[in-house]
Amino acid sequence: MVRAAWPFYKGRGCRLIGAVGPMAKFVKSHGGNRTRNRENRSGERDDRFADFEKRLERARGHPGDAPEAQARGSAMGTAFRISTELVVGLLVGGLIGWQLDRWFDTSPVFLLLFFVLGAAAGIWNVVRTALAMQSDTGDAQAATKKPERGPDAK
Amino acid sequence: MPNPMLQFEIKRLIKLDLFGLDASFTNSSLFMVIAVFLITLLTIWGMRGRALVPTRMQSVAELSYEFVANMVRDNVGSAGQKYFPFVFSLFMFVLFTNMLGMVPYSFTVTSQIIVTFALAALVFIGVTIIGFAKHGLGFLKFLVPSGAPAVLLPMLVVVEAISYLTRPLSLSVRLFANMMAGHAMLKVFGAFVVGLGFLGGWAPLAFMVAFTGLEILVAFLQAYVFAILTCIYLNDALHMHH
Repeated sequence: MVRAAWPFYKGRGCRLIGAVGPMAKFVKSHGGNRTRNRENRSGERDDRFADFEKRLERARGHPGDAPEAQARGSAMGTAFRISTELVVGLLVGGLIGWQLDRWFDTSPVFLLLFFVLGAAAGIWNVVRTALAMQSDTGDAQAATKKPERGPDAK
Repeated sequence: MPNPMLQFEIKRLIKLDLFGLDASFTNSSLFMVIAVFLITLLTIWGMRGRALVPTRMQSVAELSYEFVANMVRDNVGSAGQKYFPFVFSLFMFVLFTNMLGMVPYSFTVTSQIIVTFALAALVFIGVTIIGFAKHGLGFLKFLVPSGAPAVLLPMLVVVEAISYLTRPLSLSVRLFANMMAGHAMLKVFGAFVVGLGFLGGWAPLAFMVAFTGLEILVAFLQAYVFAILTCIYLNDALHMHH
């Protein structure tokens, strides 16, 4: 069922392109010919179309803003994730040690040992999540970084 | 001052006894049924038109579908498509029970740790079974970190095992603690508004308005975190890399 629905999901992108269609037609009918003529004469594109992409982007309503809000939301989600990880590591370690002590009658050897191991597990979970997050944002930054601004922006 | 914990009390609406087990239909059960009913309403009745230009209901249903589909695709890859219905059901159930809790006089199902633990245990056991079914006993290699010195290995395996066992508990405690703390806090500040009266009650009232907004955000975020961690655990079981 999901597989059948998947192409439908992919196809939704077409609606965006479809929205550009009429606009492109409009551009062609209102001065498209003139552009072609001018191109033929000077070999350069009309200046009026230089910022077309930018204006189109603006008309679509600042797509740059949405990822930022989304990133803030998922960052908060990560914060929720990490904070519990620490406490629960201790809790699980302590519980395992306490139960082992009850079985072997060795209180408090295993409790102390597993309390520390639980803390280590909790911290290890946090470090792993943070490392994964770091590599994710590193990739994202590398992808969105403008090549012409590369040398200045350090 | 009213007891802020009173709102989490389970009340038996229809008494039911199954072979000595208390299986009464409680207010918690009632709100679970309401949540499932609303999700069904949204996904089946909302999609009845199947229009190219969606109505409001259809748009919401499509948005939630796409949101979860994106999440599964990004975190698990194409191998996760099989598990999309499960993640979608889980996300919608947690989201709707969280949001229903924001309605005054309602009951927050996810503020009961046994409910969240049952959901988390379902994910944990399911993911472990998938891991063993996919990789056989090789799934145990998941507990052995790669490139660790042999001297430290026994200790690291124990740490990894504990870290694996924390999953169901951290998943359930996170959701339960956030929902319970938020609702208890709202109740306490509600009591402040009444207690301070017409003159002093405005400050806690203003705080409550802002805090209700935050609680709605938390209700959504917790559902999101629950679903995304399910995806991450699924990915670990299917692809077995740290």
